[in-house]
Amino acid sequence: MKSLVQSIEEQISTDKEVITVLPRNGIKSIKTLLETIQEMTQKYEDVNKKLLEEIETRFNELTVVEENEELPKLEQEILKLDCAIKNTDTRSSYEKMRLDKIVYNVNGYYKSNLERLNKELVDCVKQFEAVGIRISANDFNISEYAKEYMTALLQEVYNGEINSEKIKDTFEKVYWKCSEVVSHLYVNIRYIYDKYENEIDKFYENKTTEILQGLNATQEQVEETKIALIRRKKKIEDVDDKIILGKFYNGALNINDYREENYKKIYLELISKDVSELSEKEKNETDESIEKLNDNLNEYFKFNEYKFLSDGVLNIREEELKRLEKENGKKAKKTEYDIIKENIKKLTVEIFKTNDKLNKPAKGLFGRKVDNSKKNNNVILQRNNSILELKKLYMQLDDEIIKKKIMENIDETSSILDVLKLGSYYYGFMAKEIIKKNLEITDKELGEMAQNIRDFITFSNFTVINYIKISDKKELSVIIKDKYQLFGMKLSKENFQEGNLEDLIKKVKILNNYNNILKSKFSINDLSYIMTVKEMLKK
Amino acid sequence: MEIKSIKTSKLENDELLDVQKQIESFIKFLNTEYETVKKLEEENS
Repeated sequence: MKSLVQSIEEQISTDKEVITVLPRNGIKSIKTLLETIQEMTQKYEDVNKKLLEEIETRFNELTVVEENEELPKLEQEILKLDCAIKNTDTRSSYEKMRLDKIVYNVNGYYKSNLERLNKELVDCVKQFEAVGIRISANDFNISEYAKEYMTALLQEVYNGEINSEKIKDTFEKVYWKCSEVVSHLYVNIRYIYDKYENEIDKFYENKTTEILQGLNATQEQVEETKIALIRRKKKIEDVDDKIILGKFYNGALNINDYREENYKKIYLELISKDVSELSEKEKNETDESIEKLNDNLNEYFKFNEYKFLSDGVLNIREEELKRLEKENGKKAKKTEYDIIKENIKKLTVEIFKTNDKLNKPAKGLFGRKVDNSKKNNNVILQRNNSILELKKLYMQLDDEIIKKKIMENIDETSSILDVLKLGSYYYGFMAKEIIKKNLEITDKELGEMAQNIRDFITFSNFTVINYIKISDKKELSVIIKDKYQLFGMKLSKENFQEGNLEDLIKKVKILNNYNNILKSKFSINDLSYIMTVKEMLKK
Repeated sequence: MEIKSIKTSKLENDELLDVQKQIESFIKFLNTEYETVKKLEEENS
């Protein structure tokens, strides 16, 4: 029996024949022909309309995708647990308050951008408020310049005018009096933290108890629950209709990669087996390996992007170990960290003593006021130099803190993830390492990269770098390759070389996505239809 | 079978797209033919 398509094709062919053979000599036959063409055009246009309607109806039916109700709930739960982890983990209160990031930005990149500097300063005040320390402009008393600027800024913030002309004018005025005002603000924030450190530590101690009691879990258990939820979320997302369709719509996936013949070709290339000849059990097992390889490769690729940070940590550890070896294991009475801490204390006392003197009106004999402005100017100059000296000390202290933390927390049994995590905890250190890697990076890009690193650590379901120890001398790529070779995959060292790795990732991703699509409501044909019609209708 | 009475629901997705493409292309042919014959009519009148 003839198919419907064949009949239509024949009908078109016959009608075409009619038009071609009808006579076109003489006005009468031309008129008849024109009428026939018009009638035929009308007939086919009607059919075309009907077909387009059917095409659109089917498109609309196919593209109805429900939002998975579990996903936003999981997302919320993960964020809630992450917040609990960030409040209870081993970082110091300083990092928990995000002061490391704030002071880095105040000190460095935002000198040239007043608007951002102001945001950081206001954020700083809010962070202190969040841990129960209410600070005002009076707390910015390291110098009269810091105080003058913060008085204007906080007043304007109170009025809802964070970038008012008044603030700009004040900054300009203060800046011409002391071009190091931003350094003064930096030192002042660090001083305020030091001043209230014990209270803030107590706040986090209480908060940790409260959070963990509320969740009825230990910190490790909260972390494990979060990882389990991330895993669950990924499982759902992998086969979610809306997400799959969205990836084709936004161009992340290309339907041409998902033709059956391409799938078979890649399968053969990677497994050396014809997919259609595999038993159901074999196919399921291989698909499971493909899924794991896909996760491992993505993690490996992403980690390579941020490897410089863990290398930075390991280099410091190496240097420290060498230094300790040189010192023959003798433990110095005072560490560099202790010495800097003491010097900071001394210099701070000195600066505030000077400030006290400057604030007292000088009285001459019989209480008469004396003009001491020249003398005061010299004192102020010296005091300003001390503030800059204090800033240097704080920056040296940061270097010592990271060394101390590395030596306290990283040993041969630490995993690569432990190292990367530690590097990401300290914003100033992370920023320095990012700049070392890319000297041309802009402050915006730096901020984004730092966030991406932290997100990678926070929201990944790690299956490689959390297991591999830093003492493992084998290359990460070899470890992955060897594992999957055991499962029958044709992987070689060359696959992991620069230029080839992306190709391998793409192929494994296609296999994995193909398998996931088949678990969704769509078939490959459905998606092919949707994408063709979408282009046709320009939806 | 008369094309007007075509049962579109009987076509598979890919057939539906294929047929629509053929019909669209035939309509284009008819439009071109109409233009050609119209010119011929003008020349003859």
